[in-house]
Amino acid sequence: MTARTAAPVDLRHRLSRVPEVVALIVFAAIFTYFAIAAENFATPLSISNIATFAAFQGIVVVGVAILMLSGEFDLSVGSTFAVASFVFGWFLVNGYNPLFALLMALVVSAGLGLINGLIVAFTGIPSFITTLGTLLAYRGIARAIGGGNRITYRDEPIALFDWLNADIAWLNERFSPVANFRVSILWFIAVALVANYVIKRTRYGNWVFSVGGGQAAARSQGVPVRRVIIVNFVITGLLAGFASTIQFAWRLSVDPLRGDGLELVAVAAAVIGGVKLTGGYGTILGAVLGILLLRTLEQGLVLMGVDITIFRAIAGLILIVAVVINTYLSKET
Amino acid sequence: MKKEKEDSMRRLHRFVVLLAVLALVGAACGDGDDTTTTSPAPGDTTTAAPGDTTTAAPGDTSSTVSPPIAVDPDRPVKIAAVQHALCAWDAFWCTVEQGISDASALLDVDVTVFGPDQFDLDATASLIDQAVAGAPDALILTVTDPVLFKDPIMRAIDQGIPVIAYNAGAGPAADGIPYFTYLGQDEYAGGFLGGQRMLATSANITGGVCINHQVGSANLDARCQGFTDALSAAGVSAEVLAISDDPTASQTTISDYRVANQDVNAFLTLGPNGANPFYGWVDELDIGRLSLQAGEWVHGTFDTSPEINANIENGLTLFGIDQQPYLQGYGAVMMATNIVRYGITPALPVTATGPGFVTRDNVGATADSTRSVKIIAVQHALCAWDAFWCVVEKGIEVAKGQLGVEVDVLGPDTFDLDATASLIDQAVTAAPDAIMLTVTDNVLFKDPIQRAIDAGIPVLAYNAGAGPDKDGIPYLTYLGQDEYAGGFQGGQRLIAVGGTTGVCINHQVGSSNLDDRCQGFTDAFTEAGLSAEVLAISDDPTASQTTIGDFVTANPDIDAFLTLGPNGANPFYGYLDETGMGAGDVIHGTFDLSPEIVENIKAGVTQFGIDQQPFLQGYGGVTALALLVRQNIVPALPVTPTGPGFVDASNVAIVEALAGQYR
Amino acid sequence: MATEQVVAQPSGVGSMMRRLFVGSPVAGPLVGLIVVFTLFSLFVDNFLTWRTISGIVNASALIGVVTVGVTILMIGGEFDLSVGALIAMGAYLFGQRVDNPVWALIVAVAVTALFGLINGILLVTTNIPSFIVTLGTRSIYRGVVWAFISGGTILELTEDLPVYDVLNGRFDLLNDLFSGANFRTSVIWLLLVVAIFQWLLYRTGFGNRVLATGGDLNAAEAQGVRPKRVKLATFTISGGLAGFAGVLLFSQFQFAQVATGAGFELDAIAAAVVGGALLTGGLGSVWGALVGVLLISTLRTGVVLMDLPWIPADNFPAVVGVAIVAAVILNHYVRERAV
Repeated sequence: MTARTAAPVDLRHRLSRVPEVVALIVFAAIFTYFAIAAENFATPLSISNIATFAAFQGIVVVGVAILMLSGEFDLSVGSTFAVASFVFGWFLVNGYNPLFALLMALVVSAGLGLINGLIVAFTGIPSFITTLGTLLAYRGIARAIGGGNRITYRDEPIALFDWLNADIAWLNERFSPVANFRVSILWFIAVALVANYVIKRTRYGNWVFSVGGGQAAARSQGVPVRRVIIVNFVITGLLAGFASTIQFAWRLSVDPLRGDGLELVAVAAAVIGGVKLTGGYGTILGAVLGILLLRTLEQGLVLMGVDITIFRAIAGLILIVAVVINTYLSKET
Repeated sequence: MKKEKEDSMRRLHRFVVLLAVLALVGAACGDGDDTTTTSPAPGDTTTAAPGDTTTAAPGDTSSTVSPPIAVDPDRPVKIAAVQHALCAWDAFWCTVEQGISDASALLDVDVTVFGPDQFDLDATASLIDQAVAGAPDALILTVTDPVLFKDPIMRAIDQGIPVIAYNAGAGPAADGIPYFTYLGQDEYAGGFLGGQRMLATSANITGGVCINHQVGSANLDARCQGFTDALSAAGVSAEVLAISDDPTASQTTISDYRVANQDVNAFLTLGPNGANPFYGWVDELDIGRLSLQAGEWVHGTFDTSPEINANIENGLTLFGIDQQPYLQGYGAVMMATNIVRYGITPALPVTATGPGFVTRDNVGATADSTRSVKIIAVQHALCAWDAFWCVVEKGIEVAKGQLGVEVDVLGPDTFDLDATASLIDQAVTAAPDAIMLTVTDNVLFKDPIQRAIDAGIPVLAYNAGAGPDKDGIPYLTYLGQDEYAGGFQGGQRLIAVGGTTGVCINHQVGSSNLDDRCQGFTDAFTEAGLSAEVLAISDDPTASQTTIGDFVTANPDIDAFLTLGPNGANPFYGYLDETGMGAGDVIHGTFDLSPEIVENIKAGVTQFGIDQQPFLQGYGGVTALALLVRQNIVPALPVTPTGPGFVDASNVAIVEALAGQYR
Repeated sequence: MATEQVVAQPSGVGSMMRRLFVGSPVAGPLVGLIVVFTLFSLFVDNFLTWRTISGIVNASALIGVVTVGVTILMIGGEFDLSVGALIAMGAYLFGQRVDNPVWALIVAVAVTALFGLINGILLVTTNIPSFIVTLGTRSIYRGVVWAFISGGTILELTEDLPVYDVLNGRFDLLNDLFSGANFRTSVIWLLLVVAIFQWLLYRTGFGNRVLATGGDLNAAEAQGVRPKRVKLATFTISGGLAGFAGVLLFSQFQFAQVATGAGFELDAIAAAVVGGALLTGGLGSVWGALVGVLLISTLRTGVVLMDLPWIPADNFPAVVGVAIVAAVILNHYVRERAV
C-alpha cells in the first residue's frame, strides 16, 4: 500500500476528477461487444429502444443521483412513480382538464418527496429507513386510488400525450423497420442538462456537494443543510412523478405494481455511473451513462436470447466491479 | 498473553470451519451435477385408465373426452390414416398427404396412409377395419359418410383407440360418432371473416353480395350466411345471388344484378365456379376493373386456382380463402400424437383448419419445410416464479425440439407489465420470423404489438388475451381459454355441490385474466342469488395461508373456495392442513393443475381443476407460427380455444401422470 | 448514509421508565406489540383465539429466522439485500436430496452461509457499502439459483418425509393443549434460533464485538476489535439463517422455484427496524427481531380480521410502511428526550 510510483497515482488522480470514466469505459465495451456479438444490435431500432426505455427511467435516475450527491437516498421512488400515474390517469379518466391532471400528478409526487424530506431532515432518521417505510405506504396510496385495479385510458389520445411522449415519426420512418425514438428522449436530455447545470454551476449545486461531503462541516460553512435535503427529496419525487406521466402518456394504462423495483435500478444506475452512495461525489452524466448501460445490456442480452435472471446477475456483477474501480480511483491518498 | 492465545485458537477454529464449509460446497456441487430432477418423470409413474374404459356416449361433444389409453411422452407412436382418396389419383390429396408426412417426420411418429385406388366408400369403410386390426395407437380418418363409417369407427373407439377426423365430417355431434374432433374448414367463419376483411380494407362499402353457385348446399349457404352477417353487423346491407353452373349465364346474371343494385360494391364468390364468371364480367367492364384496382369495389373468393392467384397478385381480388388441406393432414397427426403422448385432448369438437386467407402478401409463397425459423415468445410471467408457466414453457420446449425451430422465451423477473411491453419492443429488434406473446393488457401492449406487426412480423397471442377483435390489435389468433367462462362455470359447479357463500382467492390482483376469473365466479353466485367476495393474497405462501384463515374467521359463512392456480391452491391446502379439515369439510375448486392439486382432487378435497391445457398454449403457438413461416399456413380463427376443461374425480386418474408437466 | 448517529447513552438521566426504554432497544417495540395485541383483543371479533395466535406465530417463523440474521448484521452496522436469493438457494439445496435429508440440511445451510461469507469478503476487501455489495450479489445469487435449478424449472415433491414434519410440520403436541391451535414445529426452530443468537450477542465476546463494531468503529478498534472479522462472521450468519429459512419453507410446501423468497430482504429489514435495530448499528437485540416480526404479523391478522373495505389484504404492506415510519419517529423522540 505504501510503495507506489508517482505516475499511476497521478493518472488515478486525474481520472478521479472524472467520476463517470468507469461507466463510460464499461458502456463503450458493452456496446462494442454487442455490436459484434449480437445480430441486429447495431440497428436504429435497437438504439432507439435503448434510448426510449432509458429515458423515463433516466429521469428518475437524475433525481436519485442529485439526492445521493447530498448523501441521502430514496427507496420510495418506485411507489411515487406508481402514485403519479394513478393520479394522472384518475383525473384524465374522470374527465378533468389534461393539464390539471398533469399538474396534480406532479404536485402529488413532489408532495410525497416533501414528506420524505421533512421526516429525514427533522428527525435525523436514516433516509433508508424512512423511505423503506414510505415505499410501502405510498404503494398503498397507488392501490387505494385504483381500488386495487389498474387505471386505463381508453378515450381518444389527447395533445398532451404527444407533448409528453409522442412517436418522433419523421425520424423513425426513415428506418426500416420503423424505429422507436420518442419525445421522452428529449425530455430526458433536457432534465439531465438542467440538472447538470444546477449541480455544476450554481450555488445550490455547491451546497448539495457540501451537504453530501459532511453535514457538520456544511453547516459550519453556513449551508442550509435541512433545506437542501428537503429540496432534494422534493426534486426526486417530482422527477419520479414526471417520468411516470411521460410513461403513462405512451402506455395509457397503469397497474398497482408499476415501478416496483425501480428504486433499486435507479440506485444501481447512479452508483455504476460513479455517484457515491455516501454522497459528495459524482456527476449527472455518470448517472445517465449508468442507466444507458443497463438498458444497453438488457437489449443486447434479449437479442442473444439470454434469460432475464442472467441479465440481472450480469448487471449485479457490473455494479460491483464498477463500484470497486470507482472506489479505487477516488480513494484519497 | 492469555487473550492472545485465545485469539489464535479462535482463529484456528475459524479456519477449520471455513475449510469444512468449502469441502461441503465441493460436495454439494458434485452432487448437483447428477441430480437435475425436477419432479418425477411422468413416464415412471404408471397410471392410466385401463384400455377397455369406454369413452363418452355418442353425441357427447364435451371437449374433455378422456384419452382412453396409457399416455407416455416417450413412447413410439403408430398412427393409421384412412382417407377416401389418395394423392395417386386426386391432386388435392397430395397437399394433405404432404402435411401427414411432414408431421410424421417432425414429430417422429409412424403414420401409414390407407386409401382406395378409386372413389369407393365401401372399400374405405373396410380399410378402417383393416387398419384397426393393425392395433395402431391412434386412428385418423375422413368421415365421408357418417352412416356407413359409424360401425367401423365405433369398433376402433371401443378398442380404446383415439380417433380424429379430418377433411370430411361434421363434428362428433352432427356425425353421431364420439370421435375427438373434426379438422376442416369453418365455413361460416370463412364468410364472416371475409366480410370483415372487406370492411376493414375499404371504408366506403355500401352493399355486399354473396354469389352462390350451389344454393342449397349446406357448406356454401353457411359461407354466405357468415358474409351477410358480418356486413349487417356493420350496418351494410348484403344479399345472396344465386347463379348456376353455366358460366356465360352466370356472368349475365351478375351483370344484371349489379345494374339493378348500384350500391353493391363488395363481392364474395364461393370458389372458381363463381369467381370465373365474375372475372368474365369484370373483363368486359372497364369501370369494374378500375374500381376493383382502386379499391372502390372489393372482391374476395373461397378457394384458390391459378386464375384466382393471378388476380390476387394483380390487385383485382382481395383474398382467396383456403381450407388449408396441409393443416388437415398435419393437424390430425399432431392431435393424435398429443393425445397418445401427453394426454392433451383437442379443445373443440370441430377444429378449424380454414379459413386461411391468401392475399397479395402471401400469394404464391412457396413452402419450405426445412427453412430455419426463429420465434421469440414474450410472456408476462416465467416458470422461475410461477409454476403454471412451467407447463407452457414445456409445450414450447417440446414443439421447439420436434420442429427444429429456435425459440427464445422472454419475460420479466416479477409481474411488471411495463417491462413486458418493453420486452416486446426489444424482441422486435431481433428481427425474428415470428413473435408469440401474452396480451395481458390490451391498451398497454397495443403500441409495441402494432409496431411488431408494422415491421412485418407475424404475431400470435397465447394464454392472455381476448382475440384480435376484442383486444383491438390485429394479431393472428389468440390461443387460450375464456377466463370469464371458466370462473363462471366453476362458480356454478361449486353452487351445485352446495356452496352458498363464495370467495375467490386471487394471488395476483391487477392481472386482468385472473380478475376476469373472479368476476365470472362472483357473477355466478350473484346470479344464483348468493354472495361471493374476492380475497387478495400475496406471493408469500405462509402469510397467504394465515390470511386465508383470518378471512374465514372474519367471514364464517364462507363455504365455497375458488383458487386461481397453484400459487393460491398451495396456501389454501396449507390452511386446510393447519385446521385439520379435509374432504367433505370444504367446497373447493381451482384453476390449473399441479401434482398437489391432482392429489387433492383424488382425495375428494378439491372438486375440480379447470384445465386450460397450458401445454397446448405453448406447443400450439410455436407450431402455428412454424407452419405459418414454413408452409404459409394461416391460423383459421381469431380465437383458438385450448380450454376450459374440467378435471374432476371422474377423469383425474388419466391426467394424473401428466400434471405439472404436460397438464 | 451521512446521517447523525443516535448513540444511546443510558447515562442515568431520567426515570426508571426512561432508562428502560433507552437501555433496552426491545422495550419500545414490545410495548407496541402488547398495545396492538390488547387493542385487537378488545375490539376485533375472533382475534383472541388460539387459531389466530397460532396463525400469527406461524406466519412469523420463516421471516423471523431471516430477520434474526439481518438484525445481527444491522447491529453490526451492515445490511443484506441478498437474503431472498439465499432462501431460494437453501430451499433448493435441501429439497433436491430426498435420499439423505439431514446431509441436505447441512449442505443447504453451509452453502448459503458460504455465500453470505462471500458478501462479507467483498465488503471488507473493497470497502464498498454493504447496500451496494448485496444489491449486486442479490441478482448474482439469483443467477446461481437459476443455474442450480437448471434454467428456470421448479422443484416440487409429493412425497412427505418425516424430516419435513420435524422441521415444519403440525405441532400436535402443542395443539392438543389448546383448542383450535395450529402451531407448526417451525416455531420451535424460530425460538431456538432466537435464543442461541440472543445468547451469542449478549453473553459472549463475539456479541460484544458486534455491538462495538456497529456502535463506534474507532472506539471499537481502539478496544482491539477487528471489525473486518466481525463483519465476515455476521454476513456468514445472515446467509446461513436465510438458507435455514429456505429449508423450513421447503419443509412446509415441498416446493421451490428461482423466485422463492423474493421480497423477503426488505420484509426482514422492515421487521428488524420495527423491532428496534438501528440501521446505523450498535443497538438492537435479537429479541427485538422476534418482537418486530410478531408485531407485523399481528397487524396483518388484525387488519384482515377487521375486514376493512379500504384496506384489503393486498394493501397490508402500506400498514407496515406507516408502522415503520411511526416506530422510528417514536423511537427517535423517546431517545432524544431521554438523553
